[in-house]
Formats: sequence, structure tokens, C-alpha cells
Amino acid sequence: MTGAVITAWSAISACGIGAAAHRVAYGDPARRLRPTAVGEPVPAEAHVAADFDVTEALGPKGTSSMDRCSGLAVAAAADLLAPGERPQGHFGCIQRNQSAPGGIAPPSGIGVVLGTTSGSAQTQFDFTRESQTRSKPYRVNPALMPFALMNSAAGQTAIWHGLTGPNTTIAGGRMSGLSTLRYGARLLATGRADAVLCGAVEEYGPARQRLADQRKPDDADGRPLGEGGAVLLLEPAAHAPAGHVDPDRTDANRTDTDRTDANRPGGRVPLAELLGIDTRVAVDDDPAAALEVCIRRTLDRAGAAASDVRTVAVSGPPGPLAGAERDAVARTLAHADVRDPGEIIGDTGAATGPFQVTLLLDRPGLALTTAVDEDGTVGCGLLRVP
Amino acid sequence: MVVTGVGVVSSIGTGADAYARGLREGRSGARPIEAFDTTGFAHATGCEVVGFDPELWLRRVPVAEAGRATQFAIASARMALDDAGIGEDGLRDRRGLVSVGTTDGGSDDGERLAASFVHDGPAAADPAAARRVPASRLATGVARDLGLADVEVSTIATACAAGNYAIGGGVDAIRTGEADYALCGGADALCRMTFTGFYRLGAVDPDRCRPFDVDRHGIHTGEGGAVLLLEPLDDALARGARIYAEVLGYGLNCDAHHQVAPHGESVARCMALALDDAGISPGDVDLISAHGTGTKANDVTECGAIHSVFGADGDVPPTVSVKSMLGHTMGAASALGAVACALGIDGGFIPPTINHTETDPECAVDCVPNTAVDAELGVVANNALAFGGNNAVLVLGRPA
Amino acid sequence: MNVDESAGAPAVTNPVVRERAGEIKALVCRVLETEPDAVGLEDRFVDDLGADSMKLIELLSHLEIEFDVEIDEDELDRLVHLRGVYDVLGDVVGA
Repeated sequence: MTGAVITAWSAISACGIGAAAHRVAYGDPARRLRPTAVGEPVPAEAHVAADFDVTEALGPKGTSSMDRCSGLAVAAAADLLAPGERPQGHFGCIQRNQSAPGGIAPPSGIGVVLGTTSGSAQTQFDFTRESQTRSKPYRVNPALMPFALMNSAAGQTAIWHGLTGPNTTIAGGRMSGLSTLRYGARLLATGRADAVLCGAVEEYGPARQRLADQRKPDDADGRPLGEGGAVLLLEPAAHAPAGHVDPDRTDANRTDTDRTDANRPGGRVPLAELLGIDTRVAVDDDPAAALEVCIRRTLDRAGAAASDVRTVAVSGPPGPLAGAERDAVARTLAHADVRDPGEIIGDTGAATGPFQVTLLLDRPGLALTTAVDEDGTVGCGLLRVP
Repeated sequence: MVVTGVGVVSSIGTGADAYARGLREGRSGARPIEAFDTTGFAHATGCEVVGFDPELWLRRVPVAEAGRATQFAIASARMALDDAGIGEDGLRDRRGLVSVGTTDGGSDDGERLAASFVHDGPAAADPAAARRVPASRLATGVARDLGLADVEVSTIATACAAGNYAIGGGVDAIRTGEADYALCGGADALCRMTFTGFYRLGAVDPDRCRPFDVDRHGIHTGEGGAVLLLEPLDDALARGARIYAEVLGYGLNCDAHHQVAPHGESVARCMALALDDAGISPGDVDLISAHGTGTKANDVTECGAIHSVFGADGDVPPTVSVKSMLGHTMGAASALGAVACALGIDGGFIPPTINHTETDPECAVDCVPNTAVDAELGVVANNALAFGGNNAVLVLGRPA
Repeated sequence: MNVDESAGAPAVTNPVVRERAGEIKALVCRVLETEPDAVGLEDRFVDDLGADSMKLIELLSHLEIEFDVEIDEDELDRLVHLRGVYDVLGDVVGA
């Protein structure tokens, strides 16, 4: 038991913007979009988040140099913090960036934990290209630099929404979903945050496509890349009991009067309880066996039988690793229904993990999410959907 | 919870003993940068690690599969275990955590790939280098090289505060009982992109890195790695381990204000959170290992925050910047700072702030200029700030 | 946006800067993320238009790139409004 529950989610991908658009595509294969040709300069097919434009979503101020990773994160988070409020046609953010006058935001108690592979590959590439091709190597756009850092998406999410809680970026690759949920649950357990936005984003661009192509030169039949981000709202179970609002969770009982109501989620009905997470490193290069150990141990710790798990979402890594992941699942959870977000939205890299979770929330019972990364890490997370 | 082993790769010394000597002597790691082509820059001094041989440290992970930052992380972790007198076999049946903080991860390989693409086109592909780019390789590399299967690994990419973030992650995993030990710290390799960015922002000192000095002009980019072995006190006592320091607590927060400019009020809040977590008051703190980058903005803002937490001038403990010696080693910086604190507590000394001539009245701290001093240190706070407004403060104390 | 932008700026004597005044203003607006109508000749970037020091370094960098000139960082003290930008460029362009 991690003591944490997922109470809301939001996502942006080729399926569209917001949870509702994703539920539609998840539920009806006929509504799923084919990958589109992305052409020059790297000919490929990809599932791009075509409905999402950073400036359109967030407005012109603070976005002229913003990468799509950061834009996706800020926009996806907005949905969880101010549902239904999108003034000026935007996502309804408190834009506390660059030019914001006055002091800092009051302590919000809301943390942000986002996963990544290596940040915005496109920003990093563009920055290097400028430096390599201009008359002086420092004739670069300095505004790109903070966006080139891997913590940009998490930092921007905090800046735009005034979230002063712990703000952590985990470069977990395909393990990001599990890593951010475990880290977030621990922030709740240790009292460092009252609620945590856990998720990951992955942009599509020629720089990422080139890196993917180079990493797997022999994987010509590989799955198209996908773009998107998914963010889960994680809260302590005690704060969000199923079906009713905890009377203790009222403003009068809060000692910290600085906290703003607008940013505090409250009284949400849990969508899933996070029962446990386990990860391992396949040091003997047998990821299937390592994942099998994780799955069995996670079920044991939760006192659950393999036959209780009704649904599994796999991470679908490139190449033979996908087979290893499926093998481990088949050996342990032969009767479960297996789902794979990559079949719907393409390979969204670090964002695969949170997308996997969003695929499991429609079916009551135990559900398992698995992950296998090219770096040799494997793991799983067990959820109970009410 | 206690620190029972430390491992360091740095420009002023590799290994706990050499690093401690470098700190005591106030050695400077600054030299002309050779890690990348600096043609066209008016100045390019950095703190580069020279003579590092990855073959000496990597046993299971092939050197060609490990980027330079990963190599630093693996070497630091091996040294920390050697230092603690624990073989990797002794960890196999314990649940552990490996967490490595970084700013650039595999970006040094990424930028070389980008440059070769710009100049030579797609034919210049390098699959091995492309596989070294994902930053998760740093922490996973440590686990793989030590042959540790039952570990939680995470590479924390919270930019220049990542080292303290990673250490904090280890602290919490041990506190909640989810890990029996933690190997945590940070690593970064010199990266042209980072140098270029700071240079363009006017934040690289052409001459010397001189935090808190009235004539300071910015950072020197640096590189290195540092890993600490954390264990519960009882375990350490049971095996008669050498104990460098006790981990008293830490704090995390986010300015939520500006991408690159730190906010003093928020930095002060983070220090207060750390002191609260450690269960101590400001008056208990004997030394602050500051973020102290040497930029105009950082040092004034950070010192202002320190003054607001620690009260009137007389109550502010000595505040030093090891970056004056090491340069800004990015994600490794606060891990190297934390090790410096542990060594200072253990060895009874305060590392100096070198290159110092005249303290900026706007900073107004005793930065222990140029020469280390002997001191009995009870409690030390280690600050870390990052772009994105990410703050993390770690508090270490003398073991009981 | 055209050359008329400098018509009200009698101090702009450098012919290149006069010629490209509209382009310069557009660049300033792009960096400051502001509509051209909002930027008067002596509107202060920081106090009136909400810029910060990061934005000013960004502006300096883009001016260097567009005009292929070197602008000393000390000139940031003069890059405070559009007229200041014209003045600084006037000193380094074609000099």
C-alpha cells in the first residue's frame, strides 16, 4: 500500500486534448487516428498532437521560445488545477512567469513530478545548430537555454500555475510512469506535499526522430513515434476517500491559511488506488525474468492473486524488449486483458507510463501496469480501480 | 541515518582523501577548457577533470556504452562503497536505492551528434552515442556496473539542484523503510551547450570564479561526480562502520516565479523547510555550504535569503562556496557540496572560498576567504538552487 | 511598421538603422512578446513593458545575430527603450 490514490487525469496526444477526447479514442478503435506523414527533414510517420499549439493554448506571452515538452506539461496540468476555467480562450493559467510583478506564489502544497527521456531534444538540437553555424559560437538565442534543460517542463508547470511544492524531474525513460508515481507517493507519505501532479511529456520533432532512428538502426519495422503528455493527480488516500468528502478535509481544519483554494483539489473521488510499485535492474540481461519477479512480488505484497488482475497495460518498448515484456505478463497473468497505449498514440517514450495508467481506469478491479526500458530497468505498478 | 561512505571525481582531487586535501588546501580546478572546441569564445576557462580513466572503474558496463557523466557516477559509487568497506556482494540481499542527479545527462553526446549532423548530415550517424543520450543511463549504469538487481534507480534531472534532490530521495526511501541503503549523489560532464548558454547570459567569469566577491563576474562550468552511501544508523553501528555525518533532514520547494532568476523569499522558505525537517533552529547551524555560483544575481539573492533566515549579521554562520574551487559542476554540484560538508564535519575543518579579494557588501557573509580553517562543526546546511526555481537544502550533523 | 518608425526619432542618424527601423521594432516586439502598437519610442522595456534582465540579454543577442555586430554587455544600460536600441545600433552598425 502506498497510501496514495489517483483522483484525476488529463492528457494531450494525437487523440486530442483532455481526458474526454482520450476516452473516446480508447473506447472506439474506429475513432483512432492513423499516424501522419511528417516528411522533411526526416521522412517518417508519427502520431503528433496536431490539435496542440503552444501559443494557441497558452497565449503569446512567455511562449515565444517555449518547447513543446514544456507547453504540453503546462497545458495538461492546467486541466487538473482549474477544471472548467479557461479565461481568454486559453488554459486558464496563473501566468507567474518572467514579467510577473510582485512576490512569489503562496505555499501551495502541490508538488510536480515529471518524467522525461532527455528533455526537449529539439531545443537542444536547435541551440547547438545555432552555435555551430553562426559567425560566433555564442550567437545563440539565450532564451532557449532554460528550455533545453530537462527540468524545464516541471519548472514551467510550477511557474505558470504558482505551484511552490517539491518540483522534481526524473529522467526515467520508459520507467517514468512508475518512477514518478513512486516518488510522488513518497512525497505524500513523508508530508512534503499535499497533492502531486505525476506525469511525463514527450514532444515530436525531427531531432527526436533522428535520435530514435540512430538508436535502433535495425528496427525499420518499429512503431511510429508519438507525441503527448499525460498527468495524473495523486493525493493521499485519507484525503480522498471513495464516494464522499472527508469532513477533516475542510478549510477550517487547515493550519496553513496561506494556501489558495483555487489550486487545491479537494473531495475528489478516487479513480484508482495505488497498491504498490516494484522495479528491478536486469543486470543479467534477462528483462523478462526480472519483470516476472517484480510482478509476483508486487502481487504478494498486496495479498492479491494473479487471477485477480483483470487488465494489464504494457509499455511496448522497441525491438525484442516488447516480446520480453509480453512474455513476463503471459507467464504471470495469462488471463488478463492486455492493452498497449502505443497502438493508439504511437511510442510516446517517457510519457508511455502515465498513458498506460489512463488506459486502465475504465474497468473496476485490479489492474497492472508494466514497464521495460532499453537501459535495463523493468517494473510494474498495481492499481485497484473502484 | 548516516553517511558511511563517499566517492568523488573532481577537478581538485578524485577519491575522498584527495578531495579532502584539495578542499583543505583551497586548490583551484580551473584551467583552459579542452573538452570541446572553444574557438570563437573570448574566454573559456572551466574546471575539467583531467586524467580520469574509466577503465579503472567500470567492471561490467562496457566503457563505450557509458557516457562521461555515467562513468563519473559509476566511479563515484564504487569509491563510496570501497570507502565504506562494503563490497557490492554485501548489498545484493538488501533492498537499495540508486539515485543520481544531473543537469545534462547524456547531452554531451547529444550535442556532438547534433554538431556532426549539422556539418556532415545524416550519414554521420553514431548509434552507440545515440544510445548514451537518455539520462536514465546514469543511475542505471551504477546499478548495472555494481551488479545490483534489487534496487530502485532514478536519475534526477532537476538541473543544478539535482544532487541534493537525489540525496533527498535516498533519505526518504530509507525513512519510509522502502530501502535499506541509498547510493545517491550527482554527476555531470562538461557540456558545450551549458557553457555557451551561461556565456551568452554573461554569467561566465573570464578570469577566476570568486563567489561573494565584489568583483565577481560569474561561474566557471565544471564537471565531476559525487556519491554518498546512506544507511540507517543501527546498521552502520552494527557493522562498526566509519560514520562521516548524520543526515538530519532536507527541504524542497519551487519558486514558481522565474526560469533563471532565483527568488530570495522562496530560497529562505526552502532553508526553513530543511531546518524544520531536521528538527533544528537556525542558531544550531555552524556552516552554510552555499549554492554560491559567483554570479551577481545568485550570490546577492542567496545571501539575502540566508540573512533573512539566520537573523542579524552576527548570527549568520560562515557561508562558503566550494564552487570557487570546483566551478559549477551542475547536477554534481550539491552532491560535491554535501561530500565537502561530510568531510568537514569528520575532519574538523571549513573549506575556503578561494579567489577572494573583497567581500561584496550586498552579500555580507564570512566566506572563509582563501584559507581553510579548523572548526568543530555540529550542523551544516548545504544549499542548492536551479533554473526553473528548483531549490533543495540538505542538513548534515556530527554523528552522536 | 515601416521606415516612418524612425521619423519621430531625429537622433537616428545612422542610415542603416534608419532604413531598418521597422524591422528593429518588429524584433523588439517579438522578443518582448508585445504588440507593435504598445511600444512607443521611449517606453521603457522594464518599467512600462514588463521585460526583465533576461529579456534584455535576449534582445542584445538577437540584435547581434541580425546585424552581425558585437554589442558590449555594458550597453545593456542603454538598451532600455526603442530609442536606446537605435542609439546602440547606430554606434556599432557600419562603424
